[in-house]
Amino acid sequence: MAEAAVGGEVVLGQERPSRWTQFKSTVGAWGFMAPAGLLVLVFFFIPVLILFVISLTDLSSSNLSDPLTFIGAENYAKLFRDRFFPKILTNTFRYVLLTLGFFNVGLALVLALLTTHINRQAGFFFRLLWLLPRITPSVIYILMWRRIAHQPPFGIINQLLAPFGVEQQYWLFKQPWLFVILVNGFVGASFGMIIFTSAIESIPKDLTTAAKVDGASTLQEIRDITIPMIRWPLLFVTTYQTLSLLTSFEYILLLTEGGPGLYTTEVWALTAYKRALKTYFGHNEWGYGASWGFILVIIGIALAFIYLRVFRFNELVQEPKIDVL
Amino acid sequence: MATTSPELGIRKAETSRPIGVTVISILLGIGGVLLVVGGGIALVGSIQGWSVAANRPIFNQMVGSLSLTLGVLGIVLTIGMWQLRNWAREVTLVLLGIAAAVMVVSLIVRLLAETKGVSSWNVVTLVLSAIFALVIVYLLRPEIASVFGGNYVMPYILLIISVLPILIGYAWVIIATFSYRTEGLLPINAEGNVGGFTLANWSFLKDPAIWRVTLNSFLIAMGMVIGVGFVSSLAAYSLSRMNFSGRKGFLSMTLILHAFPSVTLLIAIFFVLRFISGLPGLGSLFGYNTVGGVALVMVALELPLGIWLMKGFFDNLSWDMERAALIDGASRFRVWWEIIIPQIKPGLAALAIFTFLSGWSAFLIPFTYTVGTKVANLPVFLNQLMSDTAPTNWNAIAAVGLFQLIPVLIFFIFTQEMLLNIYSGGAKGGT
Repeated sequence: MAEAAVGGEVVLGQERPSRWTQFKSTVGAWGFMAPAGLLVLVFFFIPVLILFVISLTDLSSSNLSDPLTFIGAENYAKLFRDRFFPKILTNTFRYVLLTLGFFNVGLALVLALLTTHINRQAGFFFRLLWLLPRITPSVIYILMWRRIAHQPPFGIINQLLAPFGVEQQYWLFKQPWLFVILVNGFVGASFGMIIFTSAIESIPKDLTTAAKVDGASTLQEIRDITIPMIRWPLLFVTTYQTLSLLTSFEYILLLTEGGPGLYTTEVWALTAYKRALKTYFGHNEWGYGASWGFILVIIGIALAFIYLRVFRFNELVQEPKIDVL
Repeated sequence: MATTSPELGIRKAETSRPIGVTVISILLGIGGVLLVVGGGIALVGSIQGWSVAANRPIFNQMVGSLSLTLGVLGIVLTIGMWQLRNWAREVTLVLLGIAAAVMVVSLIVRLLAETKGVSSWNVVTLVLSAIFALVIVYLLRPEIASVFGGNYVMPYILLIISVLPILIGYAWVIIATFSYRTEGLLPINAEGNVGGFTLANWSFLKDPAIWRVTLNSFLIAMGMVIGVGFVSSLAAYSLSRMNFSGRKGFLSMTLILHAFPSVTLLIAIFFVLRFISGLPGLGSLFGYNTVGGVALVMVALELPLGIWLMKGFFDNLSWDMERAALIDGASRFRVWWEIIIPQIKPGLAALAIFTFLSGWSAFLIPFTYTVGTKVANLPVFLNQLMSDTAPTNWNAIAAVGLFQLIPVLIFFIFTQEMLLNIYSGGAKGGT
């Protein structure tokens, strides 16, 4: 066994191991990997295939026991012909862009800047409070918002705005989009906040000190030093949260179920879910829903690969510390 | 960044007070006194049952207490302004800004809705918001700002305002749990007056159904803790310590899967679970509509995060002991179990808390893959209560919600640092 000291660390197995040893260690390693590999295969890879195959069939709860009938790309054609397709597409863009701009990136950046410019413990405390929406179980979180936006005399907004002469109303039904975005945004802001905070805290102190000595105001310092220094995390959070928002629908499902009325707040991912798994009349169109879902999967895979390349995730793939023994 | 040096944060206070500031503090004082008097009258009147205020007692009590609070705040601000304190200037700016914004928006809404000309209330709103806007512009002028002394408090004010909706939501849950019904944030008793402490909402604890769904929630959460902990520390160990063909591929795949939105696969996983249901033995444990099936799906979807986190912990571990044991002829598995695992207990604990919370709070996957109440977990049960066709008893629901929040809040209070760290790497799915 060859041992060589490299930079204070002992590296074993510098010699090229024999084929047999390598084979043995590969088998051993895959023994450790087996449970994870199996689960990933069964719950990630096979589902992607299943989703694609089903999206080419007319599978629904009325013909589940029959053999599969392949109808080619008919589901995809039907999707684009759907009477509500333009509405759903607009809703999806509105949901992603507004939530992203105002909360997941915008407010996240503001919160990170505010909490890093005050007393350290106080900043930590406020960041922690902002974690509450994310850690609160979604059903309870939605329960809170429903009461905040409830009809008079129960709604909290109505109560708080009454002294200003604001008309009493059922806010959730009058302004469903406002609350869809608020509800998602309050959860989404904490991710960017945490990432931006660590990025801001790692900016070298001498840069900001130099700016202060030169007489820069806090706002100038933020604009000319902080923002340029954290543009990489900004880009990362923007792209990562775009994908998260594009595929998320849990809070909308709980808050409005895509309503009130026809498709008022229904987004792409919710359409896929509802068509395939939760229809009002118990008639599940799995084939059709799968075609909505599979388009999202393609977008998801493409963006995930882009993260890996652009954000150099593979730099994290470092060499193992112990080689073959 | 976090430490503000005193010479940058504090401005020198000058003795001469500009005439505008004097006017503003007098106006603030008058407004504060008026609000206190008006609020007091509304409050006392609604309690005493005076004719003017008697028709909507709760509304008047509410408006009364709110104006009383604002009035006291106005008087405090007057004193601060008079003494040229910067905190008074900043709080005034923010409060007037919010008030002006709310008034202008509500004015526009009213004007769009009404067609019958100008009402006197609209004129009052317009004049008030114009005055507020003037004061804001005046106080923002650099030469005026430089007159005030003391620390900046603006970040604190903005942060406190930003967390208000969160705190209000929690406040409502707690108030509602212990009251007969609520209007806004006020507890209302059976006679329609403010007050009325009751434990009646907690009667659900006597219902066996709640304990069954709690057990299901607990089983899903514990299944996830054990499953994710075991499987991902096995895989992460070999990814961190062994060199084998396929290692790089699996690792970059883990990273891709971590970024990949797994909720898009729910439709297809439905068929996987139905297939497992058909298998002898396994079907009744991990099939469709079983607690095991829900836990299994959640373990699988959480794995990319788990493997990534655990690999990080393994990479930071010194391998001296491990190497010695391996040279002495111990098997890889024994080394993993007896030497490695005890060393990464903190990492495992962090992962366990995270997965416990996500299992305990899980809604979407149990909701999708279970039918009826036998295998429902707490969030699904709570959602059923909320969407019942019968008139919903929101206060009883709030009590069930608080019951479910107990473990979440315990972890939130005692593992703060860890949660803030882990959510930066683990914030996946959802938003």
